[in-house]
Amino acid sequence: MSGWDFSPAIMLWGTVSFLAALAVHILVWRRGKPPREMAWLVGIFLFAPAGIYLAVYSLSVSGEGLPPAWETVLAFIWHAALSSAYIMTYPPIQAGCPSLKIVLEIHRNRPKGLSLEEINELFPRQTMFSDRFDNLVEDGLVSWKYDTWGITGTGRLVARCFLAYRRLLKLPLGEG
Amino acid sequence: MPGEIITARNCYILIILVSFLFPLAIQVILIRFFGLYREKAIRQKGPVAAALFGLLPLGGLFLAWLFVFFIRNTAAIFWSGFYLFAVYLLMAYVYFHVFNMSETARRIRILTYGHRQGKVVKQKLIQDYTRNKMVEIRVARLLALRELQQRDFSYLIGRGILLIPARGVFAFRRLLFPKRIK
Repeated sequence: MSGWDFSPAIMLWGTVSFLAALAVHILVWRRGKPPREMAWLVGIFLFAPAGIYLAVYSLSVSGEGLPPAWETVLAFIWHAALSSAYIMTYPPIQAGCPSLKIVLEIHRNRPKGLSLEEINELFPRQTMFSDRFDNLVEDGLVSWKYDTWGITGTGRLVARCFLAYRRLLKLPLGEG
Repeated sequence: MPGEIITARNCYILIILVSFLFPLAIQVILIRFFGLYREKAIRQKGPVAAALFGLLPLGGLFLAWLFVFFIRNTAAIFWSGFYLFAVYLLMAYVYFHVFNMSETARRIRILTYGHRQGKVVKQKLIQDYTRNKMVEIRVARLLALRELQQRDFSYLIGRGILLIPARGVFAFRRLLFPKRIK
């Protein structure tokens, strides 16, 4: 027998630290969305908690009265999984995902539904694309250089990753 | 000493980490070897199917781990299994969003287009990707996923599965951006 044990408190602690990060995120955002919001999200949900978990881990290796180091690692993995899921859900929340908006508006207009023209009218003509462009500029992925807009180093890295990913899947680029 | 490295704990962590790759690996197999989920309209089902298929090797690894380390404590088996599958499903959800970004995100489209062209001509992008075209692409996708149905010239709700996340996303959006959304 390996003497294996697993305390459900591991998931409780991971959930509590995730909810604490979520509360900080909501408070900061309600005061005014910070610039480079993805960097802020990663900081609030992953880097800051990683620092705290690392400190607890270091103490629990030597100290008494703290959860075992092993449980601290699993609690952080649980926290990181919840946080990653939230961070990936954030872009549709921030941008107001058009597909979800279409579904909601058609549901609101039941039983008649909406025509294609009425669906088009749900979105402002000018801002649909340029808002996303402005987000890229704000996040430092696109910049104005030599009288033209260019992709920054980080932007190129992101683009390369997605291009390689689509090649791996043998799929053409998405239509956006 | 190998005996100190190959422990129940280390192998459990290794299974967790390896399982993160299952959805990607299985989607590659489904598309490249079986030609499934290639069509534009049903591509988004690919990562979901891959994540579900991934439960099989994960279950196999978990059973092998229980067997190899002779774990018999019922409560520990239940909680370690629950944890393992819950973390896997969360990471599969993350993977689903990564795929969705590559398929539907306007920002990724701008970046990949700009990277290939060497520069970004904002006005050209706006001209090429009009509001109507964006709506057309999304309506076609929602019809293919049976989330919408068409009757004459009207679009109606189909399966209604997306209504739940849609309500959640917009409710949370109001909580996060109270000033922007009146």
